[in-house]
Amino acid sequence: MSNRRTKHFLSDHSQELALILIIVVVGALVQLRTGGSFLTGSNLNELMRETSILIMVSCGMMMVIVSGGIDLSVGSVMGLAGMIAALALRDHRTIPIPMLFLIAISVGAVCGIFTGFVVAKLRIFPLIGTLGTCDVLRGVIYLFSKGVWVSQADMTDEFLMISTGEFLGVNYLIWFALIIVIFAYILMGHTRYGRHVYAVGNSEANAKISGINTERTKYIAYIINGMIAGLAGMLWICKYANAQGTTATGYELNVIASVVLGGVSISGGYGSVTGVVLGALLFGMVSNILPLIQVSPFWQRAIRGAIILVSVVINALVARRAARRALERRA
Amino acid sequence: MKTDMGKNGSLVSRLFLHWETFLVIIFAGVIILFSCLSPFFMNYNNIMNSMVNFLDKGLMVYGIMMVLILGEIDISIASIITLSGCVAGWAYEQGCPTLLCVVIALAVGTLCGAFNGFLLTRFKELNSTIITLGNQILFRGLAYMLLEDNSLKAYAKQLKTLAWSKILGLPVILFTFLVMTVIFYYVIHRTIFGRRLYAIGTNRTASYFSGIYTDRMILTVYTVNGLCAAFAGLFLASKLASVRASIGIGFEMEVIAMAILGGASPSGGRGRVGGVILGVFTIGMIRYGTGIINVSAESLKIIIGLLLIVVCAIPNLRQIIADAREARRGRTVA
Repeated sequence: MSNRRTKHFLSDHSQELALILIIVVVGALVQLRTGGSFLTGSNLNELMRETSILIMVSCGMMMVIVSGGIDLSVGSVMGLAGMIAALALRDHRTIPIPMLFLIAISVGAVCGIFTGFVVAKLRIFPLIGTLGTCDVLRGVIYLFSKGVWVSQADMTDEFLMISTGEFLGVNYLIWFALIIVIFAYILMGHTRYGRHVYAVGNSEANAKISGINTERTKYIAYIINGMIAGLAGMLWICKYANAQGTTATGYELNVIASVVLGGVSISGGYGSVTGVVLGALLFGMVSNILPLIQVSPFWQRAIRGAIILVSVVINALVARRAARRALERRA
Repeated sequence: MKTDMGKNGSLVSRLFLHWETFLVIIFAGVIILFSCLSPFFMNYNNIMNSMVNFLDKGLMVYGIMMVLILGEIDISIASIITLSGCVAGWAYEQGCPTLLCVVIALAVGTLCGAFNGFLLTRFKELNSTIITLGNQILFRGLAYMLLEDNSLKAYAKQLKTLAWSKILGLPVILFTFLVMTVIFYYVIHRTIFGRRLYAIGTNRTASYFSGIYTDRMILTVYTVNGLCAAFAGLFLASKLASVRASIGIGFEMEVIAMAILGGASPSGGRGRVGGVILGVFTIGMIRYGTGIINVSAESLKIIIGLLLIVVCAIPNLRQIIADAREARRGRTVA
């Protein structure tokens, strides 16, 4: 009995297990190659700090992709929320930190409402609609900042503490990521809303006939995604200690890459939060490793593109095999 | 947008059901607006000189239009321009003659397009969004691998005549655009190939079972699309007088905006060459006009982004309003 249960567990979670295996193997190989400079405490800590923002935004993006959409504007949302929070800090140095969080998250929410309106209400093809909002929001950053940077000198020490401080020996950024992951895990796996998102992504027409308000479901997914991106944007400027017009340009591609790497189906309706977290970890690890093994920074973009393509192709092949097996079992 | 409803109405109402009529009005509106805002707008020489700034995107529009008619999308075209330009520039540095470099550029574009089409037809589980997104990153990444952050000037200088000289009093690029328009008008509206494009875009399964080789068509269209992008890349390199791995970022959005404004739709089966020409010139005139009244590049980004959203929303409006009305009626009944 227990044997059978393990077998079921293995086949249900094959994707996650494969990711863990890849992470372990890659980690071990790099450890050997670099002569032990990879698996050191400080590098792992840096790796986790680096990856925590990616994990957060990937969880938001995952909801959107599972609902059958895509959001190319998260990079711009991060830049905008970060910039507005930074400007608020520069102009009112005594502003309490929770207030800044509130500002960043509400800017993200407003962006999410805008994107959601474009995709869910106006029913524009998500790829094209968010390509448009991506540029609009990037332009809005310049309207607010007038092309000026907010540098470290304009930021207070308490603010910079957010990215360097520790709680129970673990960096704040990692705690934030953990909270978001738990939130996404519960929302997607254990609430009615989460089931609705999967249903809408699987087949919008069927979901609608079953009485799900598909428009609202998609709308909420974009808003949550925007809020997470807003939070991440503020943490980003805190971590890099400056806010510019180009903050997080193109970051959406990293996010989409990790979501796809985590086994989420790009056509919607399939994917797990665990997979996305592992995908983001693997992606973050690869980005961390490339400089360690002296790969030229000019190669990284091509490698990122290749990762996306290879992982979607592998996913497609795995799904094909699974479908064939299911057919054979029925016969 | 061609609808059957127009057949019974009077000439005027029939005219108004055509998307192209709307476009002419929008186009005229844009021209009038900018003529009022700036006295320098309606200047023949200025307009002719502005062609080179937006018609390089116009040269790609028919490729993307065919992709849209099929009901697919391609956001990798900007990266195809870059990669083809960079490879050709690199080949020139290695001592290839100019003509061979141009052939190499076109061949690279064709290969990139074919690669998109190959992945799309080979792995039917994947949609064009993720494939062209991955290739967008990959192609530009390859360009970065090749050139790092250097820029190559020698190759682009050889192409100088493309962007800056004239044929029969018209800028070369306008002349090329007109020739391409005639060719694509013939292919899309006057051949079996064109009819099949619309058939696949309207209902792929039905087309497949009616004996159309859908995969071969998709592969062909993506390949032609890559070729168009590489061809436009020649003009871009000529205009910029250099090639580097960062040229052409964001082009795909403007080209897609032109095609969709012109009446094509990502849901497939729609769009006519006549409308797309108007789409190209409307966005071109907005770009030229905002340049003349000194609107910053960032604000132009907002304008074009919003325009893309509005343009995509217009065809959906009728359905949205009808649904909202139905929902309201449902509520009052209950």
